[in-house]
Amino acid sequence: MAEATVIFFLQRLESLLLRETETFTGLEDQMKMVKGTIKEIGCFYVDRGNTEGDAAFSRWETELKNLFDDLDDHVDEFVIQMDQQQGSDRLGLIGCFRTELQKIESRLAETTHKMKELKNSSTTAGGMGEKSDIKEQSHGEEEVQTEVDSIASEAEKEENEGNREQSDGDKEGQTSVESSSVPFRLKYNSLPYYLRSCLMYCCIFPENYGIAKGRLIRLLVAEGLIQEKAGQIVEDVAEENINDLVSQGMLLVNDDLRDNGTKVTVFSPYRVFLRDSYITAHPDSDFSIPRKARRILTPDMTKVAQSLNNIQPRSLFLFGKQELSGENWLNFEGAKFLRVI
Amino acid sequence: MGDLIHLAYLGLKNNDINELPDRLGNLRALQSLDIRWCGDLTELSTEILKLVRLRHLKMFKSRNVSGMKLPGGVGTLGSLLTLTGVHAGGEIAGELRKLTQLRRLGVMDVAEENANELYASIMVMQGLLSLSLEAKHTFDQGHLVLRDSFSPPSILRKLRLEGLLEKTPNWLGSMESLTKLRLGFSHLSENPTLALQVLPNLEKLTLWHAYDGRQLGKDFCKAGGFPKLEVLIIASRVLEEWTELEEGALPRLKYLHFHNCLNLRMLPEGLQFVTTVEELVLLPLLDEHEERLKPDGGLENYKIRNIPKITFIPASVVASRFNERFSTPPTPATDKE
Repeated sequence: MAEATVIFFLQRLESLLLRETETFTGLEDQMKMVKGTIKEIGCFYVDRGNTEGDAAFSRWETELKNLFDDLDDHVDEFVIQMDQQQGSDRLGLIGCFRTELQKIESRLAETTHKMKELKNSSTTAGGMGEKSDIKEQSHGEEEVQTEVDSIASEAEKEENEGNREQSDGDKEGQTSVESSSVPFRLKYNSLPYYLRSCLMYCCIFPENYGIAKGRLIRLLVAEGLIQEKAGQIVEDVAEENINDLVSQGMLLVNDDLRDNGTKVTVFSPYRVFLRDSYITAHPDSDFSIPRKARRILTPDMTKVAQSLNNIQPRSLFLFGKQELSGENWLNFEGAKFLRVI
Repeated sequence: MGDLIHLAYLGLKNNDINELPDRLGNLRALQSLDIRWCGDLTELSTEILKLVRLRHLKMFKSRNVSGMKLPGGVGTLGSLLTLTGVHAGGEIAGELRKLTQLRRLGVMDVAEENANELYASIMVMQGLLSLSLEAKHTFDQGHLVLRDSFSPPSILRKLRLEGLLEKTPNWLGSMESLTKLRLGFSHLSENPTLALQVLPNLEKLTLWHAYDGRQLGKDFCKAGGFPKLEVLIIASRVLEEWTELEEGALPRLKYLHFHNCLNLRMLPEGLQFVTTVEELVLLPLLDEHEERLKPDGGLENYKIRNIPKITFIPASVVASRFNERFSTPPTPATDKE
């Protein structure tokens, strides 16, 4: 799944560099290197195709995702700060950013190193490779394990909790949600990364909320979740993606014929395991918002305003009529990171 | 708001916002701006011209329904794909000529003085997929000015014409790509479906006070007419009866809706042959007509017997509800969508 993260980040970075040429003056070489490494990771995914990953692979992906989240934050923050500074203060900022980039670069290097090991392990696993190879490989794996142990165990814990919840549900009558979701999971796993992202994005919205197709297209484009295709307008690609998911029965078209426009919802079996795929918060009650939350839905802005102080959300969805009295409602630190309101 | 330099999408639809921030132009990443149904907003300042990445600008002024006034220079926004709810006056008609890349365009307050330039501009938009043209005061007999020399780009899929028309535009019957068409308040004296039923791809047709005939007959749709039509919505105060429908007409119709047809007292003989219909809606349904459509012994019941879902509100119920709410005698309601 990290494939989408990699490719969409690269796309966004390219357009950001185009948009903010001035801001990145003097950093061209460094940005070029970062881009080069990211491209390499992207190619790795292309070579791999849609094969299932083992445990080592998914640990690597978790790490990769964290790395990209950090990189994303750094880049966005740099642009914001540069926007507010003039003259010599900017030099200081550029210096800081350069140091951050160097840290990122070394993390990237580490990641690609592990990636190559994973690659070797998958190519040698099939046939009987040379002995020395195998030795090296197992050694490499151990190394990976210890380093990412903490992250992985956290992720596992979450997963286990999820399972527990599900089995609790089973006892209350719904027999084996898990087993019946297997074919859906298989089908989902066979999707190309851009369709998975599209489907996951749709899961952000409440279950019974039909998303107008036109709006969904514009949102997906704004969020940078559409693969670029030469000679095609992104909006058209987005529409193709949605139609594709509809024809596979993963998105349902809500045909209220009276209404103007088509609305879509996610076919519910897919929601079961996609619910938490994007870090999304729906603070209906006194829910605390995870620090890493990227998307926030709320019917009442005043309620969440307090808790938004420490996070850097990218999307903010406000449902229903809002009392946006005064200008305070957007007055939180992370607001400047917003891409969608 | 002006600090949100990463913002790409700003949806303010249905908010009580009366002005946009002075520094709107700082939102340099903005791609999509939706300010439909926003309070008192009537015009956009030149700040909008700084949003060079803008791809979709959706507008609609809810109070005194009319288009949003845009500053001169809008023609420089070369990334725009969607531009709806634009006021036709001022220099905009000429500016539009530069926006040849537009896919969706909606112009309001089309009038005599801006028509020539507007239509010349639209004719060069060769990628246009959706077009809406609205006159001023459409529900109060406002004329929609068209030009004989004008015909929209032939790849158009969605078209909406609002306002009084003297005749059915002669190009309408040759718009082969059209999938959706709405004629609003056209009050035509000749039946437009004579020309429309040949449209090979039309899926949805809304005739909203489009034709002022008391009677619809056999010629509304001949056998094989409207080959792909799934949704048909008719609103008319004048319509009294739809007499006949040929067998084989409307072969794909799924949804049939009569809205505000306050005088309709007969459904067509032959409706029973349109077996694809899933839902019939009658809002309102005259009480005596309801009597005749009733399952037990209703004279017209055989026409609708096979339709799975029928939705209606009897006229008497509508009237009493209206009285409850306003405790004054019912006056003809104005139709607004």
